[in-house]
Amino acid sequence: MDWSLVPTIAFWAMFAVYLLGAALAVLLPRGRAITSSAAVCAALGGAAALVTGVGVLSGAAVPMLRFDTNLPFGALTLRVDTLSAFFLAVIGLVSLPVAVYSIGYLNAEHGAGKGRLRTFGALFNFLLLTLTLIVTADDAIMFLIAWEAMAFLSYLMVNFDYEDAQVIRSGFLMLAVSELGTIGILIAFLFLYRAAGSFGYDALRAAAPALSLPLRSAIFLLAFAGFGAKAGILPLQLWLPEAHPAAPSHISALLSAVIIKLGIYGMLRFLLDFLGGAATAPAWWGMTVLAVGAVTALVGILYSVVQNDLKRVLAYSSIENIGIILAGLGASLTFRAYHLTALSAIVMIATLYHVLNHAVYKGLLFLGAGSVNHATGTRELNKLGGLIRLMPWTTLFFIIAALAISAVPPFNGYISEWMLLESLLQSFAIPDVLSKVIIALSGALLALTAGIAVTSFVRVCGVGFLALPRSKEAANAHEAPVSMRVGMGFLAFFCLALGVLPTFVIPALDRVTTPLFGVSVLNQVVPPLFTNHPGAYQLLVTIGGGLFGGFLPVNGLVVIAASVFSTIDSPTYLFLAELLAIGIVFLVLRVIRPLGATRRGRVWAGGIPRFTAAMTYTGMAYSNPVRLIFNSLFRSRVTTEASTPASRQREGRIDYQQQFWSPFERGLYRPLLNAFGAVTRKARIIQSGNLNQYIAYIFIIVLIVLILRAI
Amino acid sequence: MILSWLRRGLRTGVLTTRYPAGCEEMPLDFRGRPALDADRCLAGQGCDRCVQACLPAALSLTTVTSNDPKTTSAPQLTLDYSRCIMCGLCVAACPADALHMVGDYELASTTSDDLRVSAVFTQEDGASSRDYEEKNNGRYA
Amino acid sequence: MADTLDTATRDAADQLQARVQRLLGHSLHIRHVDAGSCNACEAEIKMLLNPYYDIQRLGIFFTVTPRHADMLLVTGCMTRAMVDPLRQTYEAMPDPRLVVAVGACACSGGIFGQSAYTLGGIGNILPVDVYIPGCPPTPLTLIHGLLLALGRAEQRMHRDTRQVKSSRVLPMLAPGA
Repeated sequence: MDWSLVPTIAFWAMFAVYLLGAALAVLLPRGRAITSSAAVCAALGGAAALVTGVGVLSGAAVPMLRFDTNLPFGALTLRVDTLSAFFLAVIGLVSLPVAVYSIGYLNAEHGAGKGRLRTFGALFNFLLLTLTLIVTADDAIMFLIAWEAMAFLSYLMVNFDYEDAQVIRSGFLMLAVSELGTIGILIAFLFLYRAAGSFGYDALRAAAPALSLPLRSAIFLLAFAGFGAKAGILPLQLWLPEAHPAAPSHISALLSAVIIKLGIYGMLRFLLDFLGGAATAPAWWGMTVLAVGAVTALVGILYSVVQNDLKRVLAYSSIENIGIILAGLGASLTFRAYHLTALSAIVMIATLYHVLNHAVYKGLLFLGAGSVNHATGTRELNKLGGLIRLMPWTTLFFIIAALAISAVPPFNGYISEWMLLESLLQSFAIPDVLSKVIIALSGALLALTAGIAVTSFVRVCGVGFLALPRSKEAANAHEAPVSMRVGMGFLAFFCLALGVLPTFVIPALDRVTTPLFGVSVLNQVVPPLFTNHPGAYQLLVTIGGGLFGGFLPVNGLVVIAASVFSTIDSPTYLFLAELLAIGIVFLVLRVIRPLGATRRGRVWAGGIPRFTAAMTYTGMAYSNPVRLIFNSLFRSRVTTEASTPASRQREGRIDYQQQFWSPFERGLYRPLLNAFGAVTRKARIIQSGNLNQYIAYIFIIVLIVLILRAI
Repeated sequence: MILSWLRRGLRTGVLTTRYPAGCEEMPLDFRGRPALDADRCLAGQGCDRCVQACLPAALSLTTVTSNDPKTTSAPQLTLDYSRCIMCGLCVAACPADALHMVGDYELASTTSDDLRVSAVFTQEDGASSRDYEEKNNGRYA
Repeated sequence: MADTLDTATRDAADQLQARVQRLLGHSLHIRHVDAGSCNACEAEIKMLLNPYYDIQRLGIFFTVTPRHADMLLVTGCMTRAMVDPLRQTYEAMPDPRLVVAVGACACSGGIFGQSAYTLGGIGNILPVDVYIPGCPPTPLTLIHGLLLALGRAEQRMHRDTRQVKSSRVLPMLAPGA
């Protein structure tokens, strides 16, 4: 069997399965089969996308698909190059468990029998189809069609609970910002088209180096802002914390894990592919991206740690991770501007790894939050608690994802954050002092965000899942149905696998960066310790780096995050060491210690007679130190109201309210909207309702156009 | 500012007590513990002023069976330091100057039994309590 | 507690005590529990940490958790409400452990004695190793008591029963006569 044909077959099968899923959702008679069949087709499509992506990343090639049309833009083409294959793999890896999860989630929570489940199933398949079209588009028109379709379809999916006015508002905000971004993207494409003459990516790529630097910088800014609006950078992030919680949980997972990464895909396509290449990019491009990324990360995580809604915490955490990814992208662009191409490729590998990892663990976090919402009916942290006993599987998977997002080995977040921070530290190779300082400062900001991210997730896990239930809803929680557990377990498995076996992932990422940067850094990042001639890495082999050599199909198991032999790490060996340590501790505690004299006693808890939920930490209390330290950002206002007995230290009721002042809403959007409103109010005078007046307008405009053409 | 801190610290010198490596001198009116001089005590003759004055009932008067043939049931005055609050009211109440405060501060003990000091009053040879009783019609002075 | 045992058991208890003192003699971590005291004893205990008395120079420290403690220092007349927390604290201490009763109240109930709410000292609840009388005991008394528990000081108080020969001994009359 010719394995190299498998990705091609999978690629075509993907489209067929998505269309089949949409058709089944529409055509099947009423019953439970609708959600299940639509979801199964979506899952199969995801699996096909994953196979295609992994196949191309392993070296197979998929032929281009071309649809000639009679429209004036030329043909619509689809091509799977390695960058597209990577994002296809991400889409498939996340949409497969999300689709499986939705079988149980939609049937249980929102109940069968609603006509909207039919529409929802069809639209779900269409949305996944547009996602794959976006990443495999090979010309601007295909891309823009798929992009707009995705924006509109995701708006429809967010509005699943359209009875709630808040949900409609959030979805509409998301659509509005997305359209604003699309304008920027459209103008950027049009600038390139004007120089290239055709919409195909090949033509755009060839025409870009010939453009003048101011024009290229304009394209860079437009693309960055446009795709950034989709990704959720500051100051265009206001829609994200509204829309992601409002959507049903598996759609939130898809939004946070995949759809905002499409903004990153667009930036990579523009900055590395079109505007990259032989043309010299000035360093300030990379610095801008880096600075925006670092600030986005910090502000995102600071807001995340003070939220009381479980899904808002996760939404702000997505903003933080997008900031981290942008910081990596910016550092890569900066290194490239100083001709440190190998280092630039290494940072890009770390960034792409982080994109993959974030998709996996953020998807899992949102699915876990959905499971909690489905079981208790609430997302408020201060009402949850004690779920570890009632929902052990959900808690286990959620904690695995929280460990992964806090960059704890052996999970996947560890290796990608480590690689990013280490490669940022390589900025000493840059000759310019200002650039070095800015990159170092950004590294410090990212380290701060990593610390606060740990705080945020310790808070969410501790307050939400441990201790005692804080409300009746939490006390009546039940475990999620099997399909939801399977979906979460799938992602949890990959959280571990991607973290323990990074040297199997990095060669695939290297295949993505090699065509973009022109140099393969695989042997620098994963030194070939398993061959017979390790050369400069003899020391590593001597201290054990050659363990398992010979029968694993990779270079080695050690990762080096720089182009020189400096910072090394091996999550695989670390995982084995962790297993050994856990084994030793288990042996000592369970086997050796009981042989001696031991006395078992109660857990020491301060000598209190009885535990009640009122004694446990609340989310607000745990995040209070962060709120106070960063109060210049939050400008929080706290109001306390105590009933009369409570104010005299007797039993009574105290109401505590915390309000944040939003700098973006007050400082940026409101003035802009007010100015816009003032201008439009002045312009309204031309609207009179008088038909004769409107005909007069048309007459005057035609006269002016004729005069202008004559000149 | 830093210099003034340094100066102040150096000028203060060493304040720490040398105990247990040396004895600590206590103030003159220090109330350490009441000491019982049993030879002066009139408890054998029925005085119980200190017992009545003692707040926490550290001083108590009981009867014990004694081997002495002349005094089969002898009065015993017990001073239990584990109850004593060192208030000094017993010292003030004693008519015979049998109790006075000593400035002793090493009072700890490994058993509560070691904190009890008692005096048993028995008849010296010669007289008999019974004779006295008969002479005075069961009353005592 | 040793005063209620016979000679052989008392010897064994003394040997155990000597072993414990050897183990703990060089540094001691104390957990203090207030079992219903008026806080005069706490004020004196607090004075142990000031520069004048400074028990840290003797290797004695206070900890916040019984899990890290070698010695349980108890003040207060053992109110009923504190019996269970005090027992839990003692159970949470790892061996070897010592118990010291500080103040007249912990030794015997003090001026509160036994009542509806107080049990008259901690002797019936925990096995006490050292009694430190006083109301409150001065810091020097406390230092002597702590060092006595560690075997680094001599005990000065001893049971004493003096037989006094008196010229005139009157039998006690029954109350009310």
